[in-house]
Amino acid sequence: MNRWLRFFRRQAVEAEKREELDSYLDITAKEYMEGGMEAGAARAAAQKKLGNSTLILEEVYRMNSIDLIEGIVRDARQGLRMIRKQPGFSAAALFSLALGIGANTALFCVVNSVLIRPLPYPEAEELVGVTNTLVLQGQRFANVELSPGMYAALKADSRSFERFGVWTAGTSTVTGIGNPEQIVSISATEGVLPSLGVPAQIGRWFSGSDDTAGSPETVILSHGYWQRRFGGDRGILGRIIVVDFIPREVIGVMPSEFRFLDRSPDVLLTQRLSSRRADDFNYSGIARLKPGVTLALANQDTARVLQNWGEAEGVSKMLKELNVQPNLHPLKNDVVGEVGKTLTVLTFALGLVLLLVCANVTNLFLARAHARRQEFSIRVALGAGWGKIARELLVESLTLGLLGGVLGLLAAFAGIRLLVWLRPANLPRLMEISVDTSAFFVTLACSLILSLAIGLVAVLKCGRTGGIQKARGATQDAGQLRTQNGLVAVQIALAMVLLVASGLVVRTFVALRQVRPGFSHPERIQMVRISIPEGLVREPEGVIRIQADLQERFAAIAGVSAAGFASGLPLEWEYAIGMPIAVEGVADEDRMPPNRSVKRISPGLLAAQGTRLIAGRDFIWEDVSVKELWPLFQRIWLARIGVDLQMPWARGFEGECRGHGWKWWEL
Amino acid sequence: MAKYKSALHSEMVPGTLDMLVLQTLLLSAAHGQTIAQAIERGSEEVLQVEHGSLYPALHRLENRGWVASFWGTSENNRRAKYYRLTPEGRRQLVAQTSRWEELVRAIGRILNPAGEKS
Repeated sequence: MNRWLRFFRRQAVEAEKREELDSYLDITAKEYMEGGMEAGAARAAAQKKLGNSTLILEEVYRMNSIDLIEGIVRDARQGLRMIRKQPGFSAAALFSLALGIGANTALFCVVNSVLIRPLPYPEAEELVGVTNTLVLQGQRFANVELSPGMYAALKADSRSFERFGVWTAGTSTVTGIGNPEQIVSISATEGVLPSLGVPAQIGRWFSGSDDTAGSPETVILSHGYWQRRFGGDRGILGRIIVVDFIPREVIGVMPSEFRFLDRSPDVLLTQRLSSRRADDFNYSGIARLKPGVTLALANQDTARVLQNWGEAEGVSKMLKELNVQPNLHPLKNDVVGEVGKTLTVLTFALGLVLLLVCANVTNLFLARAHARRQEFSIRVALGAGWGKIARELLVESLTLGLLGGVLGLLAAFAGIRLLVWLRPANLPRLMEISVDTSAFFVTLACSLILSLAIGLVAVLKCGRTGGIQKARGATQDAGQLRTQNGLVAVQIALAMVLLVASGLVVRTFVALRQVRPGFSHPERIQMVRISIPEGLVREPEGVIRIQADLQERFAAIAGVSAAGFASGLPLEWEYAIGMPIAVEGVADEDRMPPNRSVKRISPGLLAAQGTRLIAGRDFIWEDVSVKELWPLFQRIWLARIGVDLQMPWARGFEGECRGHGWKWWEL
Repeated sequence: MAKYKSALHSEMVPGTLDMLVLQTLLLSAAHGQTIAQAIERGSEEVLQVEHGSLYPALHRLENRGWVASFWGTSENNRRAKYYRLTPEGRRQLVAQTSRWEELVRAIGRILNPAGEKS
């Protein structure tokens, strides 16, 4: 039998041996009685013949035992007993440990899921985001998306991409099945899904003809939308649904675990690029590199393609002026973004917390070990070696640490659940965060290292022979106090660091609260997103009419004091667009006017969101005359340019808008 | 640590108890009491066995896989643990017996050199 198996079965074996000895006594006693002995005497004689039962059993037990383990188990039991006996000490120590270890484990889970784990696509390390850097008025933009022209050139000419495509995110309206519904959509060219490499659960990906103008429109559903809207009907393929007022054939359903980067679109539409415009940088590129192609190589290749394209299309001048350089990067960067820095700072902060916990618990533990020095010295006097006492202290601290680790793991579980439930908007890959085995091992390592450190300090201060000798009759000496004082100093220092850091964070928060965002009483503002699809109303005048009508109806609802439209809400940078704006008298004729962030708003919006005008007047619907607007505006339903309120330069402008009353905005 | 030494260990030549137990089990399976008595009687009471010390020895042999055990019923209807020889035990017995005989012959030669010459 295996030594370990025997160790764990040693209790059972002992019981069996005891029964065996009993049977020996019975049999022998019976023989003696047959020889004429009286029952009691026979039993006694049998026992005499057998010898000392307890000693025999002990010898067998020792054969099965492993001394070290036996000792450790005994010490651990002692540790648990001490935890039970001193609830005050235990609560303080365990609470600190659970907090420190729990916070670190939870953070590890987040860091692991967000930063370390690869994206949930096959061979995710081959995936790159395709963007360019360019310089506009001395300002460098690192991740400018592709234009249709670039897409066409790269698709035709790139030697480093296995697959390649571009996509845009948006919302779409589904009509024709029940109530109209607005859903999240991704428009992608044919190469995007094959790049990601996640096959459809049923049906197929977009084909080359799907994203060519003139062919029938197609749509791929997400698993969630398929279940929600169609009850998971497997006969969905081939059905026509109306998305954005265009009938589209359902050609596939993606699997449930499919995520589009960090988005969960309801449907995937085809991205049809009708124009080949060179400077419409609005399409995000995704590519899968050919095996063995490095990022540097792919960047070189892309630069070559862009140069050829510039020459062929006659846009070399633009490329040169803007200093366009390809900036291929691991796709993970697109998903993770800037959050890496935040997490690094958090890791350091929580590392400090862990140190603080360590100092705290060490101090508690030391105080207790100190109080037990009399006990230790008595045991040493009775013959216990210092190794035994050191082992006991270590095992006790390990017991404490592991228990704290278990509590910490529970705390981490709860913390992660809370985090996922809170859904912080700026944490990508939130749904992938989970407590897994690696987190378990981190917790284990955390608690082991902590408790070993704690135990070692205690052993060095109280468990050594010298230390124990000194304890005879002594009460307290300077050396002991020094360690504890040192620990307290460390604790205070760490606490100060954390206090200062959190103070700074709070200050930032307070300062942020004092920023006037350009709207007031957000609790009284309601918002609805609508889109009037091109498929339904084509003429700009029609759109304007519908919107003026809608606004009037909204404003007529009882309890609504004002209503308006905007291309984007305040602080929503995603919906702002860049536009060169020349200011009369300031503009230099030869140079391109500076690019400014612009939002489009309707009359009434300013009143609705409580923005105060410093000078001038609000738009009125009469301003919204299509003919008076410059060409770019003609397609748009909106009256006038509003200026992104966060920009400090937005002091005023006229230029193209001359004659329509210019205004200053409050900042 | 182990302060207890059984009488068997001290009175008998070390290592011989195992051999004797194996030898006893050669013909048939037996329980502890039978084995103890067999050794005692077989040695014509020369080897006084403290029967209890047999049990740790049996346990050790079982751990090594030289004997196997099962619960059975004794001659006078008492549940008892029986031991039987395993094939490995049989091999060990042969090896130990021949080594023992060699040892005895060697000692005999030293104690009685005349015998060697004859």
